[in-house]
Amino acid sequence: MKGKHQRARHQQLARATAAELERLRGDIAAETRRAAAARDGAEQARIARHRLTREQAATERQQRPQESAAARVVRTAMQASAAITAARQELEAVERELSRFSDAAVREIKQAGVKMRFPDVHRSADERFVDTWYRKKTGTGFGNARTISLSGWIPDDTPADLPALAAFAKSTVFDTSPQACWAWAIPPWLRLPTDTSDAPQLRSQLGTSTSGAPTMPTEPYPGPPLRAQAVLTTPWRHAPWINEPADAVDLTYWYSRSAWAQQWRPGQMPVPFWLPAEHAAAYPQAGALPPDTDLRLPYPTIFAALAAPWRIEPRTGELPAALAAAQLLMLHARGNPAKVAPANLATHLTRLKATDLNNRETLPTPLEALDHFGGYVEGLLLTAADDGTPNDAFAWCIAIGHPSGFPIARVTIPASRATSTWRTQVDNTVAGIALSCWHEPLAPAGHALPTPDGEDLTAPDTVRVLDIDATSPSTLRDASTEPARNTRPHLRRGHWRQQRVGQGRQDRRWTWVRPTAVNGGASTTNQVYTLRPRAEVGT
Amino acid sequence: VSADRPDRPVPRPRPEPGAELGDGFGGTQTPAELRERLQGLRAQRLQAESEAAQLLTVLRAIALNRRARDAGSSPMLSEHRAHLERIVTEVEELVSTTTRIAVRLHLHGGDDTDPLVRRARRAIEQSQSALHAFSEAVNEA
Repeated sequence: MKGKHQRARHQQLARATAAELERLRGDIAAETRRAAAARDGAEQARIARHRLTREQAATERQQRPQESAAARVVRTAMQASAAITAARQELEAVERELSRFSDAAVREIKQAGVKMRFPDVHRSADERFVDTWYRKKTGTGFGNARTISLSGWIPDDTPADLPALAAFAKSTVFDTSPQACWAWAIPPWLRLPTDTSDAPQLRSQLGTSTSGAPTMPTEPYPGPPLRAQAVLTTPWRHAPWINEPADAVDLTYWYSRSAWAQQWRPGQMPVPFWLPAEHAAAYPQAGALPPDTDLRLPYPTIFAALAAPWRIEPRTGELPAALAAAQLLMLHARGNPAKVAPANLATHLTRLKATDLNNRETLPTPLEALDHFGGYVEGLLLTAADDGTPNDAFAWCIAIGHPSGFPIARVTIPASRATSTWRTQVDNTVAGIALSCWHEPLAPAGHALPTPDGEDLTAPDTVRVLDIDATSPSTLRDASTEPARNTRPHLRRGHWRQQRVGQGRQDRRWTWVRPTAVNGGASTTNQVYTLRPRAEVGT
Repeated sequence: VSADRPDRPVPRPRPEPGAELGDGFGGTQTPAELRERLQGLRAQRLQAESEAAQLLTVLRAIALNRRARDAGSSPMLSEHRAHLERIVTEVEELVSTTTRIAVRLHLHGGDDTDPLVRRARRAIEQSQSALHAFSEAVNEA
């Protein structure tokens, strides 16, 4: 019996051990498989880390000259700003003198539309107190009101009742009510165009297709709001000297709002695409692609933001007398958007009418101002059919300049590619959007990557930035890049070229051959592209 | 036992019950050895997985880096941008103050016999010179 039990226990243990071994071997086999996959992943991560190091080095190498140039500009600007500060201090001293308390000075200040506060009166004091205090000081009533005519600055059919007028007069450019969108579509220091007779030659060159007048909307602006950290807080705020893709979001906001106010493609929100400075200047200079080139835009409406805006030169010669007289008031009415929050329409009008300018017809339309002051094309609104084929209709997105060097407006000017003198430049930009490779939009760290469905197309991280290396592969060698010995130094234009790609080089794909400095010719850095000819219309 | 009789095979000790399937003899391993091996493999796999888990982060870093390069943005450039913005804001402030003073001077009236008018005109000229010098210097840079 004893031996029988021993044998049974022996067999039981043997079975348990066998099962354990079987399980362990299975686990080891599974673990080996998983470990192999993990090793592959780790190897990929190691390769990626090496690539990251290389990319970082390349980025640093490429950005060093830009950073040095920017540092030089900052240093110079800081040195030159000492004189700016001194001049401002002197002006402020003069202003204090001009504001020395007297009834005449107070009336001047009110007339000029300058913000006024009496140091001896608490800011919370009501009007009756201010009036009594003022009467005691000067012997006359304060009369804290100035009559401003809104005629010409609001639609003609606006009822003459307070609520209806206040909806316009109290609106600021931040508001999105129908009245605000109409009132601010063209800033009050510019005239509303009523037809297409203003600046006819410039209109012809741009190929404009509408007058550019706003249409009174029935609903508030439906687009996404201006982002909280917006840099371009008003359509007349200067663009940063060193720009970033996120700026394109602000530009998209103002230009799409301007387009909406004109009811130009009102149902479509543009998707911002960012052309780096080199490409913004090089694409328009390229030769035109064959007309049968198959181009497809990835979205129905695209805002092609130009990191280096195209310049529209001002008309040469002296300004017309009316414009010369008005330009100072226009700037005074514009105010200082960098430091002060936008005021309401009534405040801007008070400044504009400081010297009794009561007729809006004496002001230039946006295109007349552009014609005389020049400006910058900051981008193009491109449109496509359902299958992505580019439409003829597009819009210029232009910051209108001023002799002071600061913009006075940003307006969207609907146009036709077929009729524009600068068709090649626009067509090349369309080709650039359609044929270039783009960096995928990136969500900020800690956020989910955008999904095709729930994507906020105007969020800062969804600005598509042109992928330079993918658009111009480094393996691409242009046969003509070898400089001839007798060639004079010059900058060879960039151009599109079809390249064979894929297995067996069966497929063809358009690649961009970047501009090349030949024999030490000019570089592409800091190039500003100017739309010409303007001389012909400069008389 | 065998040292004095090299012609005879070394006798194996009697195995434990059930150990024939993995007794460390005849090339097989014991459960303890297999467990140890499994633990080693697991540790290696976890190590490799934690390394592999960084792949997405590294790929994202590459994408961000390339995007920043193509967009021409870097922390240093952002710093320069902020500096320049402050300076340009000052310039814009000067332009706006100059315009305001010019308008107020117009409303104030008076002629060159008025010292305040003379001073205001001088201040406007100084401002215009400063603006001109500023734009010249920056364009040169």
